[in-house]
Amino acid sequence: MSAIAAEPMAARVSASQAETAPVLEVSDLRIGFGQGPNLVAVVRDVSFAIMPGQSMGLVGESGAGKSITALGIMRLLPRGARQLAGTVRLAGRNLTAASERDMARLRGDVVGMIFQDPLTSLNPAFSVGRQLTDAIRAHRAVGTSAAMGIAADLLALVGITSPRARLASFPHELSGGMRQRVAIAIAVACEPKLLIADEPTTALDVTVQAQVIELLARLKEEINLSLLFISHNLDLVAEVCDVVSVMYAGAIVEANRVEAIFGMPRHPYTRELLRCVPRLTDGSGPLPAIPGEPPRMETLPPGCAFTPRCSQAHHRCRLPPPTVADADGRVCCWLAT
Amino acid sequence: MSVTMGAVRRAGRLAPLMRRGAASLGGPTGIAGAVIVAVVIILAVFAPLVSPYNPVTISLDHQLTAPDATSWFGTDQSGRDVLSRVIWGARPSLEVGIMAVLIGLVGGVGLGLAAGFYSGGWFEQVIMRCVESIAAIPLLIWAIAVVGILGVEPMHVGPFVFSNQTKVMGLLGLLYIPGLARITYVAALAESRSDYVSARRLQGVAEWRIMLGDVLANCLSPVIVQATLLVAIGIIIEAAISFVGLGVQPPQPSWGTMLADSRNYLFSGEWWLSLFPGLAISITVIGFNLLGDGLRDVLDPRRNTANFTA
Amino acid sequence: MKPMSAPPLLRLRGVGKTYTLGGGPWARLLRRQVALAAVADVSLEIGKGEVLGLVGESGSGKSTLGRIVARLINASSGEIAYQGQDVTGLSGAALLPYRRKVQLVFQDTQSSLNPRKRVSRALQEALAARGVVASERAEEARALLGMVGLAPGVLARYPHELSGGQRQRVCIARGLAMRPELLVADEPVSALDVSLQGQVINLLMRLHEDLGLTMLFISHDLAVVRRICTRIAVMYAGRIVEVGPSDQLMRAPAHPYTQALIEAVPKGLAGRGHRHRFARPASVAGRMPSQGCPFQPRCPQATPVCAEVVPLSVAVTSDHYAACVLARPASPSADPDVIPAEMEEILDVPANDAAEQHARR
Repeated sequence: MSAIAAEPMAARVSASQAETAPVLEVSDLRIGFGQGPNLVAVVRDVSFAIMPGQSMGLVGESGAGKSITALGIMRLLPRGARQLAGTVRLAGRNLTAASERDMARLRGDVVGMIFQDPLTSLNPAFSVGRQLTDAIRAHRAVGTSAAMGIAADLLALVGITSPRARLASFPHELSGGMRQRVAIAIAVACEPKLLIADEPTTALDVTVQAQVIELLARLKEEINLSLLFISHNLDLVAEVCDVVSVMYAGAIVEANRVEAIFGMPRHPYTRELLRCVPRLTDGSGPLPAIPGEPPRMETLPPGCAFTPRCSQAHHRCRLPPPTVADADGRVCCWLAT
Repeated sequence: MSVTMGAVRRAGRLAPLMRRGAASLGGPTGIAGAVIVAVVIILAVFAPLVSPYNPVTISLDHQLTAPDATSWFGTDQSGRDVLSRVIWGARPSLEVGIMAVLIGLVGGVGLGLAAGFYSGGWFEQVIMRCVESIAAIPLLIWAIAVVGILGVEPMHVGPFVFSNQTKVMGLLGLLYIPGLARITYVAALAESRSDYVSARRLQGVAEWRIMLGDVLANCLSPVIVQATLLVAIGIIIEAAISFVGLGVQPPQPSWGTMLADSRNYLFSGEWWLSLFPGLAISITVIGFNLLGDGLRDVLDPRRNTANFTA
Repeated sequence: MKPMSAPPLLRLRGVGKTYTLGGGPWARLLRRQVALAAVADVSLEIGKGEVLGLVGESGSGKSTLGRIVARLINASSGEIAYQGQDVTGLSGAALLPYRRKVQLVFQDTQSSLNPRKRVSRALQEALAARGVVASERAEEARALLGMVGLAPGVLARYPHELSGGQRQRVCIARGLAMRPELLVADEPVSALDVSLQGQVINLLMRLHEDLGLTMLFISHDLAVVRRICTRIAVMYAGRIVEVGPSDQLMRAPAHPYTQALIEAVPKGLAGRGHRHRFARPASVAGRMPSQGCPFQPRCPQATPVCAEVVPLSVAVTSDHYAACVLARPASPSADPDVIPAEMEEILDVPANDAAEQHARR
């Protein structure tokens, strides 16, 4: 019987209220590629914190460094990339100093991760049931049949009909939305405190996306799951997340509660980006775009990276802008001073 | 388009065939290989100028002399200068190695390209099955069959004379066809589905023009790498065939025949008779292998790196 | 909305494309093949100078239909008529005049340009295909780049040296080299960052105005389609389920799938906590019912009849059609500007406006 459904909701809520420490705390994280003179920093001094039960959106366009940040947190960086500075604390534990064995114990147990393409993030050679039980038995001492039972409960939790029958299915027999649900089930199998979702719905149709998002919202409620939601889709993040950090060229330019980011964006990039998003309720007419191109990380301008494309740039922007923080959030821009 | 991976990917961009530079040889490995290959080729081409003595001149006064100032590599049992024979011996090795690969390329790439581009019908099946049936018969069986049918004497076909060496070249080339065809076929299959091929169709360009003008160039990277490695194999096979007496006939020098002749002197102290031809083979093969490795680092589909959006 | 009094530039009648999926070369003999209808019974008209949007999700057949229109793929059934002439069966040399009139821009910018050819060569080859003399090609190539807003320096570059947006513009320039009358744009901005989409979208709109280009704009992004298209056709499982003027379709969609699609688009802050109810999850990978309406398994408004009969197109108004048994002609007295009740919550206009005004400040 699944441990998830057994505990009453109230007990879990009060337990989480006792934890006011962040589930995830990232401080001045710096990740780079290459060596010596070819060293390029692609994540520059990124800091944020996610509280229990909170969902944070990490938005930015391709090349901004969102995925690398997530992989850096999980210590799953690709070859050639390494963490240059900063610390990551997960549920109080310092991940930067942890050994690979400790990390393996944490991954899947305390923190789960789902990726963009469920077809490649699931193993096509193994059945859904097998992959789920592998994930469960990696961190829990249960027998195979008990694990199968938990697996069936997990499939039901993520809204898959006929869960027992589905255990024998293979990934290619499922639709994209179902595969992503299975991936979510695997990621939350051991009731992690944090789920990192890297563009989880980008490869899905919009009608399917809506349902996966609803699932994530439901999980957040039912098992008090914190969520790090990475996406380039701003409207989606606005629907799903409580707080938002906006990344540009490897650095966070603005972070705040979601209502503030979307209602009163303070950084020029955030403002411009929001203007570019086409909405159903728009009229016709030219679609705004940000002039220029995203910068190459090897040749960032000194000071603020957004300067070449910023309509409000001025001479001070040649120096690295300060971070101005207030009650809810922070902005990294000279205009905020 | 991922900007952060651009830095990593840009270093390994596949260079178009027109551009040649030190960087396009894949670093020190490729450069070393290219240098070795270049030296061997130059020696073979300019053998008449470079070789100190005539390789076939018999001099019974100087039989089996050890390497000294006048004869750097010593002399063999007929008094012929080993150094000159090594230099001249490069010719049959390179001829067989390179020509066989050329035959394999023309046949293999041609067939593979057509099969991959015009896939989805009997044409593809017929070509690939024929090509595979060539590969189904092992090299040794083919060699025996060829020797049995065509004999070891030079063959006269009308006005043409096919020496033993030519037969080896042809046979080897034939046997290279299946491997090269398969490589090209796989690449052509993938490239033919690309949108740039469709774009050419939209311009009303004839199918065969698209195949040769657009698809072919994009299939060649893995082929080139394989080709350099096959040259190395060809050199070894030529040496082996000459060793067993089927290849170049005396008194023409060839590394394989030199090794065969040195068989009797392996344990009697005339080390220079086997060492130098052996070294020549080894160094040349290593050179081609290094060149192939270097090219592989550059030409292998780096553009298919895992698309890593940051 | 201009009434279509002039004869349409392109007319599709009953166009279908069925793929037989085999299991190897012997499957045909052993009758083990499965027939998959990527496009079924599509009838559509595009008027001259119009921008028609074709919307659908993956597997809807929209890309296949686009390629059929460009005659890259042969339709299995139906007719295609261009300016009144039947072009369905043409091939080879007879197809060349059509090739000059209809061009297609692809979605994947990485694979739509030959990685071994510089931009100048790609453009000049296209010009050569149209018959431009060699001496004029360089000049025209430069002019083409100017038309799409790229500097002449781009001519010397290879595709991998360009950004996604630049590549897409080069592809548009290459398409324009043939001087087409109809441009099919297959998801032209789906691979681009949202801050750069505007550059390509605005370019297409400018070309439409300056050159009088007719466009078939294929996309899964309803918001983008709505902005630049005067008419929208919605596809599901290879069929057109609804077609009509953009405003009308968005405000009062008559087909349950269109309603689901509109509902599913993320609305930002206004969409928080909204329970999506217009479509049930798809159960199995790519399996469409063999009978009846293809949307029926997911349709919350399905009736028993829906599983048996493929619905015919019903005229909701004179230019708005929906293929659903529940669609009814709108009453003539209905105010076209009023948003029906069930769409109000979904479209939620006022909240979005406030956020946008803040953003513009």
